[in-house]
Amino acid sequence: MDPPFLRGGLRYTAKRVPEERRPSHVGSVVFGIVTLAAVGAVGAWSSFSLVVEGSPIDNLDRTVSLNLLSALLLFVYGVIVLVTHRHLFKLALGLLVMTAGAHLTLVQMAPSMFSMVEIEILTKVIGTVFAMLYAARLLAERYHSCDAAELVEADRVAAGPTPTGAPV
Amino acid sequence: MTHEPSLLLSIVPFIPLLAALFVAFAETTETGRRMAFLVGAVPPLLISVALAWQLQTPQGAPPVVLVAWGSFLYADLLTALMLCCTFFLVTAVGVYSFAYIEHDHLEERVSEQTARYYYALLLVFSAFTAWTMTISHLFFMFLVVEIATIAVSFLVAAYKTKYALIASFKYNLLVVMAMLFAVMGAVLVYAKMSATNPEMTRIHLLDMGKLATLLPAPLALTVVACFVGAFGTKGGMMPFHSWLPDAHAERRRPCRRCCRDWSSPSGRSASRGRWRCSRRTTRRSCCWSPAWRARRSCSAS
Repeated sequence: MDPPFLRGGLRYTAKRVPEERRPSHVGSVVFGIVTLAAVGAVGAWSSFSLVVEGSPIDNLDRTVSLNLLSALLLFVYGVIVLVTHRHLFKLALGLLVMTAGAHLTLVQMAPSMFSMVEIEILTKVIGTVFAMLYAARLLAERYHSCDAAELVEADRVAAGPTPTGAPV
Repeated sequence: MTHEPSLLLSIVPFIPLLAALFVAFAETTETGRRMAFLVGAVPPLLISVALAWQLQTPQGAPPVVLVAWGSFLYADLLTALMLCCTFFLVTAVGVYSFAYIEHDHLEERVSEQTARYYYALLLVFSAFTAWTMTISHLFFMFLVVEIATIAVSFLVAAYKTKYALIASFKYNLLVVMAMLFAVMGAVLVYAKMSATNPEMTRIHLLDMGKLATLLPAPLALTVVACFVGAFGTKGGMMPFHSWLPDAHAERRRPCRRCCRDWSSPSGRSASRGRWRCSRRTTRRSCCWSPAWRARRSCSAS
């Protein structure tokens, strides 16, 4: 017998959540451009290294840590996903990607704060993302859509145009 | 500045937290829930007033600061006053909700479980807000802010209507995203701090003044931008307030009905498609007190 979390959460998410009806590749294109620009800028004014001696911030003009750049790009990718997508589950995933980027940056810049990263991940994954997926799942169950714009537009279309002179 | 250890400071958040656990898992009657809520909200308010009284110093005397858990908790007079405001507001909101929750429970708009969790979440929110104000470690402060955010998002989604769920999702998404920007700002501060003074092992709020002088101007501006964006979003300040209209539109009747009748097409159609009718409904709804409405519902049923 499946545990309730698997039955109600993961399996539901995998099988019954409506797909995005208008998939967009704008986010991927924007992320590609940002990545190329970042790598190009670092290559022109600095050099890459896996491990940087001293503070990663002080040596940015000489050496840039590959880990730090990846972490920052992950953070940026999360922001791009949040800005360019409307599917509720993709928004939650974007937030998770952004969180991963922030925590990787923290580990890279301040390795002694690793315990804080563990606590933060626990709070984010168990608390925040659970709360978001709970709301998204209820919306998907009741209104058969996970598209944020569609959920709001459905009521506007049903109500019709606003009459002239009506208070707004 | 005189540092005085205080036991009361460490007790304050635990009272609402224990009351929340009791409401959520033990109490089943409405009267018991109300009593437990008041037990969880009023004593911290009184303790906060006592702390504020203790922190008052005569003019010219060095200011007193209360500390606990080895300076992990810290409260000056401003902190104590904010604690008073928080617990006063939470108590007022809870007491004002008594009749609404009872009324909506009788109308079967909310389940027994939701009515129970409403008070528990309100108490959890007040406990973690108290920690937000007293914790001096920057990263732990972000942590308790996030837990308070989760409690608020569940409160917004309590009625499980379409717009309540959308508002909850939006609030959670935007506030947590903003908090991540604050974490990034703190990471930049910490990276510079650990390079300058390796003995500093944690970001203490009291050290922020010293750290500000160490940071180069571009880095300081980036950190300030991250913090302004984060706390502006959390506080609902313009132009970071996009979650605010949705979350507040899901507040309790009758004010919710007032807003929906005036602002949304669905509210217009609910009042027979006539704006005159909406105005009449608005006036009538606002005049009804929650207690009167609850009594009316009981007598009708």
